[in-house]
Amino acid sequence: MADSKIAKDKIPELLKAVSADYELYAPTAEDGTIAFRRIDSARQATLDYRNTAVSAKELFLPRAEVVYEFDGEKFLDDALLDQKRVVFGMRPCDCRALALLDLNFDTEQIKDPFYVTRRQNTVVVALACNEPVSSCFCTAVGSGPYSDQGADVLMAEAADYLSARAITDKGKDFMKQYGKLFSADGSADWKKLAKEAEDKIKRKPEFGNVKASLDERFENDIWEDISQKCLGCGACSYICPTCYCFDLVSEKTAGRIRKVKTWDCCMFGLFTLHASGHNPRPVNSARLRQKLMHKFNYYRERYGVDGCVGCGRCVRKCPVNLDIREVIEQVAAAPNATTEE
Amino acid sequence: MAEQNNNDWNPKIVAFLCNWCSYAGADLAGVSRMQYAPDVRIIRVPCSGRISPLHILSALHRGADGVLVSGCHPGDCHYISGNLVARRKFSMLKNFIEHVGIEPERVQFSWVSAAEGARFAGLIEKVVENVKRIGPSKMATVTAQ
Amino acid sequence: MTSAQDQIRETAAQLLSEGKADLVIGFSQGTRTMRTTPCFVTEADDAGQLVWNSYCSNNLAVYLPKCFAPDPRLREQEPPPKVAIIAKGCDGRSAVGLITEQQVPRENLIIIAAPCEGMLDADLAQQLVGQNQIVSAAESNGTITVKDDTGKETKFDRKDLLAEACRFCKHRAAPVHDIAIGELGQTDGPLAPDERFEEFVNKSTAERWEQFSGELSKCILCNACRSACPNCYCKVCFADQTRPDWTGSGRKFSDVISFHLGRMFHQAGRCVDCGACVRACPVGIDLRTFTYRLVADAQELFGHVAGLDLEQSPALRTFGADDSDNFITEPE
Repeated sequence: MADSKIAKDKIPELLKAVSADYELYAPTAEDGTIAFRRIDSARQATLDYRNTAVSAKELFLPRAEVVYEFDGEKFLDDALLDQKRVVFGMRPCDCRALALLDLNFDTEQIKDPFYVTRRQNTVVVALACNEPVSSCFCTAVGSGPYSDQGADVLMAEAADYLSARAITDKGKDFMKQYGKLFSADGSADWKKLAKEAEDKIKRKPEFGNVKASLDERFENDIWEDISQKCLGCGACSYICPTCYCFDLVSEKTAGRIRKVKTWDCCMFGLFTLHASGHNPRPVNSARLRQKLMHKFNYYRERYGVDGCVGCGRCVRKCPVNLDIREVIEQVAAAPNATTEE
Repeated sequence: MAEQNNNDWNPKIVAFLCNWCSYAGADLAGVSRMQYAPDVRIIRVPCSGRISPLHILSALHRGADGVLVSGCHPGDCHYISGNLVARRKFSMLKNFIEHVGIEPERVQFSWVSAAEGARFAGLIEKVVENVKRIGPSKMATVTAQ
Repeated sequence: MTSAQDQIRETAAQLLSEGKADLVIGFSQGTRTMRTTPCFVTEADDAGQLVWNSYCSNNLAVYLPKCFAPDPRLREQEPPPKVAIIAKGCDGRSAVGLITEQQVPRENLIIIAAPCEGMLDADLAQQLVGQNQIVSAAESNGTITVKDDTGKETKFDRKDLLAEACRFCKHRAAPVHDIAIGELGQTDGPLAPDERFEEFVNKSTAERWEQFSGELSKCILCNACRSACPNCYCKVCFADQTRPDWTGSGRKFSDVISFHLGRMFHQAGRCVDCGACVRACPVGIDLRTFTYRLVADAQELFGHVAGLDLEQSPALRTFGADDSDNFITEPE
């Protein structure tokens, strides 16, 4: 399917049409924070943004969801999402994050029905990134400002129009559905725009050999040093588009019990606390090590890719400016000597 | 807050009463056959100083329309100073709850002694009336935007 | 403030080389513009990493309980270290609070009071500049000049970029200290009137609930506020307990409210108003407008200001015979 184009001033019309057929989510600015919110007549989308504070992970892995419910006599049917949704304006890093989550939640052997249904019922219309932020490092982890992984439709922003191309079959259907709002011959110089955007990412950490470095340095004093300033607050994991650790808790109200799946974080002290009282990750250094190992070692071992999309949110939001780019470099540079116990 | 039609709604009020004074006062009201509103569920504690702000917040969280905490008069605490330490906690908590926009009538405090059966009955009448006036609590059912 | 920075480096190097301190906690240059990052120096030669500028906002006292907590991996604990901390007013007051609550031994702590005229809020500057990223900032004579990634420069008055807690701070110098660097900030009078709080207090109950619930609806229960607060050092937080379950599963909004009311109220009489919670929050919740009630009340009701005096007992651990009863409900 060739590229189509839509003038920027026609975007509100497109969004209005889409919101009549789907539940539409797009970035909006409220209270000085840009986040993905439901678009309706009361709310306007904004495309004048770099990236949202919190990722759109919430739409696919909600912060809290009921996984089963017992009313005293029987289990109720799973509350799977049945609305069709469109998420409009997601950046390629966040779209690739969905592709990474798919690797974990939608496999041959096991599928998370809640996640899979949400993915299937959602059209992801991505907006490529022309202005990466100084904390972005998507190119270092196999992504890029014009990556199309995880997206159904990818749009590129030119001067006064958006060029759009369908990436998946779902994307093709979407473009057909709203074809009359687009015009043909929407070609933009994607290669040039992509290169310009990539060149703006100044700090390119070397992540090529990370897995090997991490493998060699599991027992290493470096972890104590780099984790000293980490508060174990969990903000990084919660806003990260690929972090998916969860907890299952019971919610008891009169007459019924629900099992609720909530976000959790490997940085929390209680995350690995056993019922016996033993904690295999009793100190912060072990937990920070786990975080980095998971993202850059175990994910690569299991799925062949890093579990990080380089969106830079953790760099921006960490209250103590613990910079994952710096930390990875420090670990790789640490002398390869194991501690003597 | 809008006035509620109170004919159909009975508030759920949780009352934490200290064993030695307020609970005994409530008992005296009962033995003396004094009539007062039945909407209060009593939880007996050894001392008002035992009450943590978390107990009060938890009651609100789980759907109580009102919370009452009652202890011995300052100076008369069975454990000497339990209620004196509690007094500071309670005054700060009451201000704080009101500060964030929860109606001040939702959480109330009092001192009732073992001999004050009539005072207890009057107190319950007043507390129930206060809570009825402000209507059911939003806390247990509040949803985000 | 450069000379303060040099003095801090010299002092740190001296303490370490003389063996008076095993660890100096301060700030070093961050990886982002207008940021610093907490720094832990153990060798005198590394003291040159320490910086002191307008971006040293974090409350470093949060690291103190960890320095003295037992290491769960060791059967025999090592003797407690001697720790020096570069302290603004808020860090210093937090340290006093921690000593009073027996989390930190006084004799193992060296408080180095550093001069503070309020720290600047990088996120606020970015918000004022807009979507273009700030790439550099220079400060001179009370004016901050920032340059964004299109090359455009914007000038700000220093006081317009102050972190909110710093604007209304009334205790800019660490009240208890062992070493003083430079000229410590004045300890009376804030830099600006407390408008946001006053405005909130004057709203009706319904309006206040609307603002409170509106702000908290952004909360994702990440617990960053709790982790950044020096006063939150409990090994098992009330919010993590399941028996009893104080905050529910976290699914309902009332669970979120419970967490915040409980956490905030745990600061009653203890909060030093450092703003670490606000700074840590990744979704920008204005927590201070709510927590400041506790700070104001401790002072108005009991004449108590947290962290000024090592001899002072925590506000809620004592009582006064003349504490007010005006919150009591009297039956007619």
